[in-house]
Amino acid sequence: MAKDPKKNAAPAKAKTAPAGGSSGGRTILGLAFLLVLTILLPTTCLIVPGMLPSMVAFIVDRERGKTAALTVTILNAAGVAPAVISLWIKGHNFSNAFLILRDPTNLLMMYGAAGLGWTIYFVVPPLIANMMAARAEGRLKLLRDNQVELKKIWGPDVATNKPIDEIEN
Amino acid sequence: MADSPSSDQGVAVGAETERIALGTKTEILPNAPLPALNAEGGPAFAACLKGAARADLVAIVCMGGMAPRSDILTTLRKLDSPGLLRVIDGGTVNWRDGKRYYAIVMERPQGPRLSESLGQQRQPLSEDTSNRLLITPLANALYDLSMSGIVHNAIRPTNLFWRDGSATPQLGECLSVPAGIGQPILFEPIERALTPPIARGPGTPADDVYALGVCFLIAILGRNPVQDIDDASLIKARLERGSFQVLTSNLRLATSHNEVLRGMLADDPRHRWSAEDLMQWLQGRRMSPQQSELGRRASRALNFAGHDYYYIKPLARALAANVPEAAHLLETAALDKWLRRSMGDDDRAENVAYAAESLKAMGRGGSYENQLVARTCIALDPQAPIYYRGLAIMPSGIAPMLAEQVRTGGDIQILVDMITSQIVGFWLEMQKEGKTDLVPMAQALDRMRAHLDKTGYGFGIERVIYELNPGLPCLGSVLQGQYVLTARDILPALERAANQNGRPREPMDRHIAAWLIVRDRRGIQLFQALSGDHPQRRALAILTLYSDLQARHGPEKLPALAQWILVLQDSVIRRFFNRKLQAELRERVKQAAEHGDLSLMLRLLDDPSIVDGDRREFTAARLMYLGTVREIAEMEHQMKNRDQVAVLYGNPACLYSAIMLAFLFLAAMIMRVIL
Repeated sequence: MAKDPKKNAAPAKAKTAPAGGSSGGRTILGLAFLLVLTILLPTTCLIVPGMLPSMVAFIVDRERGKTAALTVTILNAAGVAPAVISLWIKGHNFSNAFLILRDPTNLLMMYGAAGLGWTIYFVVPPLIANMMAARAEGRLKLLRDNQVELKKIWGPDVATNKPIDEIEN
Repeated sequence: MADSPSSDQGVAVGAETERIALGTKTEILPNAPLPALNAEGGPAFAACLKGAARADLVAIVCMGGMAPRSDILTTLRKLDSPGLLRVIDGGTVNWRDGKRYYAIVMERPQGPRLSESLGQQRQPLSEDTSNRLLITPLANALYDLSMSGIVHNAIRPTNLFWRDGSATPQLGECLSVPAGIGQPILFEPIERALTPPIARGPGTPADDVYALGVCFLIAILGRNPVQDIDDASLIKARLERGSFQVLTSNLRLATSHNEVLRGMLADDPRHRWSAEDLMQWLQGRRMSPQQSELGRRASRALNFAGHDYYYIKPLARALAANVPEAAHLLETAALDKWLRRSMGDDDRAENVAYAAESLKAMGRGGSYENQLVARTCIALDPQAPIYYRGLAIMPSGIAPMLAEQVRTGGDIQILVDMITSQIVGFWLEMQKEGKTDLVPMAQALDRMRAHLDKTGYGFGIERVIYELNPGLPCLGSVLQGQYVLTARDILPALERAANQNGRPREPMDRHIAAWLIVRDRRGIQLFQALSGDHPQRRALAILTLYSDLQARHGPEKLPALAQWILVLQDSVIRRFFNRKLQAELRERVKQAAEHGDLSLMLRLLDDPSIVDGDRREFTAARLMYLGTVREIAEMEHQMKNRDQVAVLYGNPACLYSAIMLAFLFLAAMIMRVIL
């Protein structure tokens, strides 16, 4: 059945207008990024292999907030940063870049940091959950003790919502 | 004759003589009885003024149970008449048997009783002696009484004290029993003679004149002229022939005596001499007393219940004695015809018709026949007592009879019916003379209808008897034997009752409530709490009432009563929600009770700031509890759903940890480069 072209047009317009706006911005950003990468090609040659764990993490992480990917990326970037600084200090060229890449210490630092990120991701949330559960247990006991104390002082009707006049009678 | 107590100069009172104080003025000697002066209300004992060397007074201790006429004591105390025994004092005393009684202290009579019994014979008095030495002083006494608004109601030879030929004759006491009690029918006018003694009420000064007339006749004859006639025959004869005729038939009396007795013994109170008339006659003014009036004689008899009746009075009495037959007669026109044709009395016939109409206008209730016959009898003979359901009662006798029936647990329904059916109002309507004096009584009875309609504390029959009988002590079962007459007496009485075994659960009952409303003029509001089903409000109302009484009348300490009331206050304490506050209040109230301080107990239990504060804090505690319930639910949810917690809280922690570690690492690197 043919659809009403007017109906299709309006939503289509609604969809494309913001999409057009945001995709334009992304395009400009992407082009700018590519331009920077091209200009800073030796740095790019260092960053791309160095940040491979992050790229993998983004692909592997299905969670909505991409927490694992972000955690790995942050630490991965921290691991790559000294190498990039070293490149800039020693000389921003391809041979220095490859020299740095060939150094196992640098690779260890880059990938080790990424590994630390994964470790944090697997350890910290359960740790937090367990800690909170333990805290909740303690709090529960305190709350239940409070309830007992309230009943002791005010009687069992403190736990009800009977009208006060009915309780008096 | 027994030794005259008047010849006794009084018992000597020493330091060791046992005495019982009556108020602050007089004392009674319980070990010095004076049986010759015993009264209807109780035995007589020697008495004296406080500090006196000789007990030359007499005290009547009213142990008989009936309520004395304490409401007229104050007036009698002010009366100083040679022909009356002077009343010195009156009040309640703590007797040796542990009970309290009403006692009256009077001067001792100057002579012996005129007669020890009605059958006693003595020397007849001469005309001069009787007129000058007997009747004149007593007429003065009656005059003094009538001016003070008091009717003696106990004038008879056995209550008259006189030493022949010397000393003034003196009327004995008239306070120790209700009016009419102890008075033989011989000394009552015919309308009062038709009623039982308790149903007579205070009567009028004309009744005293009648009684004095009979005493006078007995004194001048030296004997009772109707000694051999029983009461029923005497009443019948008086109804048929008139009192004067019956008492003086076949007697040869002096002309003056004939005249004065005809005036004093007239059956119609309108024609009977008053004390003033008597005094005028004694001063020489000649009066023409009406012939003793039986009323008109019918030309033809009316046959009723197998008897023929020519006169109204006996007919009215007969109708009252046979209600079903009377009602049947009234349905026919026979009575009306007889009144109009045989009696020639259209007015009376109209009144009888009005009686039936006025009743029909009120609606045909359950006691229709009784009401119809009663009203018809009133219309026929307005001077007669009210005949109702087998009872003959003067309207002024309703109050004392009601009180006595309540006191003894007798049937009060007939009297209640009389009040609610407004029959007294009809009786008043039928009176031709003296209506003004009777209006207050009729109005009072009418007001009582409203009280009888209500059942709450402070109303009902209890309220009625205290409203109608100003001198009646409180008849509450908890106060039995205490003789509580004034508001000042009640708390000490309750204090004593609190120490007795088998005391009731509460120091309050319907009698005490009604009595307090009437005697202490309390408002009704507090008593409404007594009528409900709230033990708290009831307990608090009792405490409030009695603490107020303690504040106004004392005594300062009432520990036994306070303990009694304390037991009731548990529900009041439990109205506080805070258990610690409850415990604290219990302890403090207990201490206040030990000191007998009811006001302090009330302040502790009913302080508005504490009550309101407790409620507010309880409300806050409830909110707090609700908060804990919510928080517990949240905590339990967290514990059951750790994965969600991990995601919710753990993921941000990961990021923060990563950022911090990255930052530290970079900082370390930069420092290394710089250094």
